Formats: sequence, structure tokens, C-alpha cells
Amino acid sequence: MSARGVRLSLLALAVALAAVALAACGGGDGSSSSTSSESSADWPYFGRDRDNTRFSTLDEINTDNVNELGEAWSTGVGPDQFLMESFPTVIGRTAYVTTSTDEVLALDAVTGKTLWTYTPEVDFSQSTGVGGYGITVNRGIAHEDGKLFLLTFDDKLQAISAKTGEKLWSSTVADPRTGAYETMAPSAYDGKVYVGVSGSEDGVRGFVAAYDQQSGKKLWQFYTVPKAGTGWVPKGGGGGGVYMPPTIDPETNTIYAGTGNPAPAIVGEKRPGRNLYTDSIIALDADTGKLKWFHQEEAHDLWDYDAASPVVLFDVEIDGEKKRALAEAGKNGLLFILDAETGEDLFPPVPFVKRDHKPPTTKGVLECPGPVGGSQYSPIAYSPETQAVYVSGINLCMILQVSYETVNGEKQFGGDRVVPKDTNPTGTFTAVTVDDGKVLWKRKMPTPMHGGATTSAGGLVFTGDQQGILYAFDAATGDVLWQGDIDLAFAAAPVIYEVDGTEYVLATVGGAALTASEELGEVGARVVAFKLGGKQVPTGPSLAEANAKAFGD
Amino acid sequence: MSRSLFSSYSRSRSRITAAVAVALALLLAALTLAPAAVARGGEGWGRYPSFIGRYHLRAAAGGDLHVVGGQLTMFPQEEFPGSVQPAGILNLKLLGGRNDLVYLTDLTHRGARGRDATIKGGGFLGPEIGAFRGRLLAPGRIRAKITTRSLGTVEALFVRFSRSPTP
Repeated sequence: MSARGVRLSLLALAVALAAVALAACGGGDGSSSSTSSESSADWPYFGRDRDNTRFSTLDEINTDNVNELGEAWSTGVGPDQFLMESFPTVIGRTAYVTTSTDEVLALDAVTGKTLWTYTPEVDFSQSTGVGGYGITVNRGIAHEDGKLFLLTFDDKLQAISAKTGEKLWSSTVADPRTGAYETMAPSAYDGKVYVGVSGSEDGVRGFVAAYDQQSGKKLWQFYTVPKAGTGWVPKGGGGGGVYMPPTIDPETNTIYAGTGNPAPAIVGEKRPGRNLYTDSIIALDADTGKLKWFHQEEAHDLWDYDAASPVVLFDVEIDGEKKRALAEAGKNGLLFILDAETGEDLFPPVPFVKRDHKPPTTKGVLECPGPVGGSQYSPIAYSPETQAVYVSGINLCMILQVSYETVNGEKQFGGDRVVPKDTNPTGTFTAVTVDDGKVLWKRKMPTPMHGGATTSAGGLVFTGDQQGILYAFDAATGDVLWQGDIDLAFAAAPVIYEVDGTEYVLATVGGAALTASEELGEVGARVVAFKLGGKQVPTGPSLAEANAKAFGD
Repeated sequence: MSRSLFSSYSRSRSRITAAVAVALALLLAALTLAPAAVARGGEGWGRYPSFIGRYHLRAAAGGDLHVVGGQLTMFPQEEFPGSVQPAGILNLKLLGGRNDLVYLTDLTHRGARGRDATIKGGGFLGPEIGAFRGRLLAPGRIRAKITTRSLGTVEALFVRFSRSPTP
């Protein structure tokens, strides 16, 4: 090789090393490219990775030292904020959190200081719900190529700059006058943003749609149910809402989404058959929206048993055969583990709460689970170290009473739902191994579990309850290794990230609509970060003490 | 005192005693029934068409967070068939652009013009965080003080621009 050739080779090597170093640093200003957002230090997507596993590869905080966890910082998110269902994302040193009034806050992930706030113009006048539907909350943003994507309550999809919070474009995805509203975080991948819509209880027709990230133009739309008055859908009916971000598998160019109940919700006489594709997992081509397969979790639903929580993807080995698989926890109280290529059950569905339900009548029938689940929108987490998924469960039976009158309000619920007197809502937290569909361990919980879970390479799984207690379980055994009392109910799962060599666990707390309607815990809205050696927080009652009080054990 | 006089006095005393007893009974009955009567009389803001709709908010005093505008939607809420009750959604615009969203429930009136409500946070079943104390100036025009811990006291004029609660 000539001297010039050696110099060029050294230059190329230097450029390559510099590129690697830059990529490893991540995008500290929040305007990072999609490449740097793959950094293990970040939490760049709703579920951290494309498979939506909610598994962090960080292990500074682990089973040996988690008892040293303490508060790094804590910040409120604004005046009169009383619910918090936001799932944060973290890029470099910036954490993005949404408020229940659709604002996006960019926070310094080390100090909690607000860097900027984006406040969209939102028409909240249709936030007319009472018990949990049609109430304004926001579950987070999607991020790709320096843009953040936000859905607002009044059905606008907006793109804003991740660096400055400047609005780039806004598109209307549904008509709020029909009862359609948005609470979900969208998903972003390969130049597209994927969205769904809520409002099944008002007879809204559910869909998944893709929008162009540059222009906001709609690329395709897949309706989850026929138009009202056609097929099985009666006049004024609908359903099949999508409440959580679709999960994307770039290898197969497939997006997976869960769908909601048919409408009328608890009256089935006017909607014959299975009512496809309600209460289903659907697999769509990411480029065209063409249906690849579906798996219905509850045929001809009469109990409002949505497949609301987001899908998690992972690899399994069954009888020596490697497969791509997915899991979803339904409001019907069953965990489904499916072949991701075909949608077929890999194992019989795994029950994780009490199940005892019959068709509702005009006299009223006690139904378990009640129409809040099971597992509501709460994301499950997966750990490749235990080959297990971690499922949040709600034990809250309700009386469903059919009524044939429909005037206003939830036009298509079809009746009333009542929590019986002296009911004590509780929960479950269950680990299920995905190679065999068996329960690895299961914990009774003193309150409904509503926020979802997060796992880490430190051998931990985090989840929070309605009393405001954040638990760190040993992912393998289910032993509680640490707990901290934040005094605000959990309605979202934590995220885990690292800045300058320090690992943080970030929790958004304040409760869900269910928290307020059933008075399960304190509502509010705060963002709290934890790190090793941080300020000690109260532990609250131990799980054993809390369970003794809740269950009378 | 003559007997007749006594008798007269006695009859008179009996009549007085009876009258006092009746009055006391009436007073007791009134006191017993009063809270329910007041509650019945004070419920609501009047007939639905008289106040349902959407209102612009013009802030006269912006409170601690400097409310600069907003919109109030009053609507007949029905979660389930037969459960209709009026309620309000108050979206306030703060100086600097933040959204503030609170909910009006348990509407009551004071006399012909007083229009009050409880303010809740996060949703209609959220915690009680303040009070709406208004005065009806004319159909579709309400002057009100909105008090919450976050906002302090906001003084505003609400002017109805649509009789429909739906955009």
C-alpha cells in the first residue's frame, strides 16, 4: 500500500471511529436521528424497542443494589393536572412527557427542569365522559428522525420538532362530533405514523391508519368493523376502537394492534355473529394496511372485553423450533401467546384474574372481570432473561344491566355498569413464561394494577399500584426487593434510561380515570426520577401488610 | 278574677296554647322540611335551554395564573340512560399558552340570578378543587368568580355564542 493509501486508510478509520463514538453518545439535544435513538441508554419508543418489550438492557440498578434506590428529582406538570397516563420517551438527555391536556413537556432527564412546553390548541368540549370513557388523558408521543408525533383529544395528529417543540403540521384523523376521541400514543416507523381511534361506547367505527411523517397526509386506513348499517353492524353501532400504539416488526413489515368492543357494547341481539374484527389482535401490512391475519379474543362480546393493551413481540423456542411470537393481555382476563406469523395460539390462554361471567340481562348480572378488565390498556413487559411476560391484572367485578333506551352519553354501551356495595377492588401481578405458557409466579396485589410493567437486565421488574407504591420485584422469583411510596396512583409504567453513566428509573404518577371514578387512590400529576443513592422515599406498607388489609388475610 | 273571666282567660289561654302548639308544629315541620326544600329549590341553573351551549370567556381578573380567555361548554350529561344531569367543561387559556381544563358539576342557583357549581379536576368524578360562583346578567351572559387553589380567583364574563354544546 502507498503512503497516500495508508493515510486514506487511517483517515477512513478515524472517520469510522468518530461515527461510532457519536452514535454511542446519543442525541443529547433531543434532535437525534433514528440511528442514535437505538442507543441502549435511551428509551426511544413507547416500549423502548421495536418489539415493545419494555425491557431495558441497563443493569447498573440490579437485584443486588436496588434497595439503594432513591429519588433523583420530582416535578409537577402544570396547574389543575389530576390524571397521568403518559408513558415517557427519553432521547439523550431529554425526557418527553405528555399531560392530560395534550401538552408535551421536554424535561432535562438529569434535573427534571422543563426545557420547553408545547401546548396545542385542543377542543376539549367533547370530554363529556364520566366513568372512564371520553375523558381527556394522553398516553405519550412517538418519535422518529427528530420529530415527535402527538394525538390530541379532538382527533388531531400533530408533528412537532423534538429539539424546539415547534409545530410542523397537523392533520385531522377523525371527527370528534361522532364521539371519536384520542388518548393513545401513536407509533412511528419508516416515514409513517400509525394511529387508531377511541369511542366504541359511542358507536365510533374503529380503524388503524398510516400518515406520512413529512406531510401529514393519510396513506391508508384499515377499518376494524363494517360501516354502520352494513354487515353485522346495526345502524348507530360500530366499535373496534384502538387504544394503544401499534407494534411494528420491521423484519416482516407487519404492524400489530389490539381492537376494542363491538357496539352496542353489552347488547348483542342486533349484531349477529362474531362481530369481526372487534376484541381482536390484527396483523396488517405496514405499507398498505392489508390484513394479514386476525385472532379474536372474545367473539360476540357482551362484556366490553377489549383487546386494549399493546402487543409485545419476542422470540420463543418450542420443541426445538424457533418462532416469532407475541403476547397480549385482554380485558377478559386472559393472556394470549400467539404465533406472530399466523396468529394461532401457541398455548391455551392463561387466566390472570377471576373469571366468571354470563350474558348480561335487564335484571343485572355480576360479571367477572367487569368491563374495566382483566387488563385494561396496561402494557405487559417481557424479559429475555427469564423468557417471561409480566401482566397487570384488575379484580373488579361489576353488575351489568341491559337497557334498551339510548339517548345521549355513551349512546352505544347498552345499559348500566355498577360496582356492588362493599366491593374491594384488588389486583394481580403475574409472570408467565412464553416458552410454555405456564405461570412462573403470581402475586396478589392490594389494588387494581393499572399502569403496566417494565423489566431490566438488572433482573428487575417494576410496577406501581393505586396506593402510589412503586415496586421492584425480582423478575425471576417475584420477591419484592424494594418499594417506594410516591403517594399518587400509578396509571403508567416506568421507563429506564442512562445519562452520563447514571441509570434512572422514571415514573409518571397521578392515576387514571378509573382511579378517580372508583376512588382507588390519590390523583394528581407528577414525574419522578429515581437513581441509586438518591433521596430516600417512604416505603409505605409492605406488600404483605397491604394484602392483609385488602384481602383480610 | 271572676270565674267567667277565668273561664274566658282559660279558654283564651287554651286557644293561645293551641295556636302556639300549631305554630310550633308548623315551625318544626318547616325546619324539618327546610333543607330538602332549599335543596330542591336550589338545584340546577334553570331549564336546560336557558343555559345549555358554548360560551366564550372574557377575563376581567386573570387570577394567579393569568387566565386570558377560554371556553365553557354546558351540556346535559347522561352517562347511562336516565341519568341526565347538566354539567360543564371549562377550558381556560393561560398567559404563556398552557391549557387548563376543569369540570363543573352539582349546579345550583341562588335566587333568580345566582348560578353556582362545584369545580372538579381531572374529570367529572375527580377531586373537588374549587367553586364557580356566578350571576346571571341576561340570558346567555354570566359574570362569575372561579376559584381554585392553582388559579386563585379568576373573574370573568361568560357570553354564550352557541346554544349547541357540540361544535
